[in-house]
Amino acid sequence: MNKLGNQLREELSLINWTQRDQNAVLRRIQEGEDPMKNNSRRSIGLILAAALLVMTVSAIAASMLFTPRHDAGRLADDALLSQYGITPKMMTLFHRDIVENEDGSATVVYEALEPDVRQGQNPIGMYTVTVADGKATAAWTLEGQDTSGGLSAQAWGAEQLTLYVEDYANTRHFMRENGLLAEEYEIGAIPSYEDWLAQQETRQAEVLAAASISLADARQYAKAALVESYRMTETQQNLLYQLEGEYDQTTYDMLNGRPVIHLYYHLSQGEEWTEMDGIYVVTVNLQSGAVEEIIYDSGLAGNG
Amino acid sequence: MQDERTHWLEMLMTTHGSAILRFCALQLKDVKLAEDAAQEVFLKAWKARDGFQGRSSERTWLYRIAINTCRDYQRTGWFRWVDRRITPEDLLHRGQEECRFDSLPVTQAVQTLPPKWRTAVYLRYCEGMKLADVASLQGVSQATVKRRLAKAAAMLREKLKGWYDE
Repeated sequence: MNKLGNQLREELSLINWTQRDQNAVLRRIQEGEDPMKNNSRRSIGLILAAALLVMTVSAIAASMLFTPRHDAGRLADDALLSQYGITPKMMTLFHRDIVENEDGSATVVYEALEPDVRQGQNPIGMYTVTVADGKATAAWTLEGQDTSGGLSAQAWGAEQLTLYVEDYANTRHFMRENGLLAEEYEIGAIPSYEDWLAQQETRQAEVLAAASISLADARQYAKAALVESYRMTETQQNLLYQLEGEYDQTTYDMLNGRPVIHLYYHLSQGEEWTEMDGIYVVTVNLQSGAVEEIIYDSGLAGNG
Repeated sequence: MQDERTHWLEMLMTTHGSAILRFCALQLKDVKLAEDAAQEVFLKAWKARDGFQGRSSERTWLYRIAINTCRDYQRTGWFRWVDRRITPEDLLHRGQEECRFDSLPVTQAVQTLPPKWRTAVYLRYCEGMKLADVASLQGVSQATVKRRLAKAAAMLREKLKGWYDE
């Protein structure tokens, strides 16, 4: 890829930081400008609109509808926390899949996103939670294996996952220094981006044809669900945002025959990661408006 | 103390100004907006200097600020409220040759990539950063960065077919 890098460098060399830019920064400092005040031109109207939105969201939250699938996901997460100490923050290391069984129960599977993190062995394993009659029971493929001994333990429990998520760079550095880190990952076949886009367009048309509620309503339900489920403060509600235009991450899906939309919300409360910061994927049923699933990804490691 | 701090900022801007500006331009696809964003990066650096603990290099630290700043700018409509502070002096200089992306085929192709892939491509191939540093800056694993780069490469090969085959 050197050819690409060289050409990109050459083309971008037309854009240069000048003395004028430098002076502008120094002038703004002399004027005592707080860089964070740049958006101070937001009008009173905008602030009022935000306040109104918070009120509307709260009103919807009071009558929020969650499907059994959503409840199964929530109960399964709680079971992992109480049985194995797997916190919401660590969920960024897993892919969660909910299988709805015919008898009304659900099987929730948590697969490690980086099973090959350690040389020669998957230390994270897989968790399976069975949810039936409002009760959830979790099992781990590495049950009974020794989790003591830090990062070289036979199996990684909450202690190692905490390290990996909260001090990602140092943990990997330590693993590399001690010959524990798998340096090379296999990259699977890469589907063409255009193919994926085309597939999305077809699916979107199919889903929208089966929808009974508007996308605006779906967004309102999704936000209300987040507020309700995570007890978000007004400040957090105002900081919650969705990428739009070409950055829009919305996808459409058929979930066991039900048309759904996956809406991505981002929460960033400052320069440094703060509790609850991350990405929330809310799946809304486009026929009933009910929330089918919420996935939280702290974005701290592994799945950003 | 203030002089020392100002000197530090000037050194920072002289050393990293162009690289940060180019990164912002690649992300925001608008040179003027990129100038605003890059200036803001250095203002934030000035403000946060005491919090810089030297655990990463200054370059990595600046890119961390730049990634966040560009992400804020990319939020729909955010830049509509930005006070651009165009002064008469600026207007005089704005007449200088402007960069047009449509004459930069590779840059334009990279700009069509999703923002996270674009960031990875720039940091890895333009800045020559180690995979581990790019991963740390993007807050993801090296495997994720590799996947992003591989997907970006596949897409760019498609978009720049003639150029790659030259």
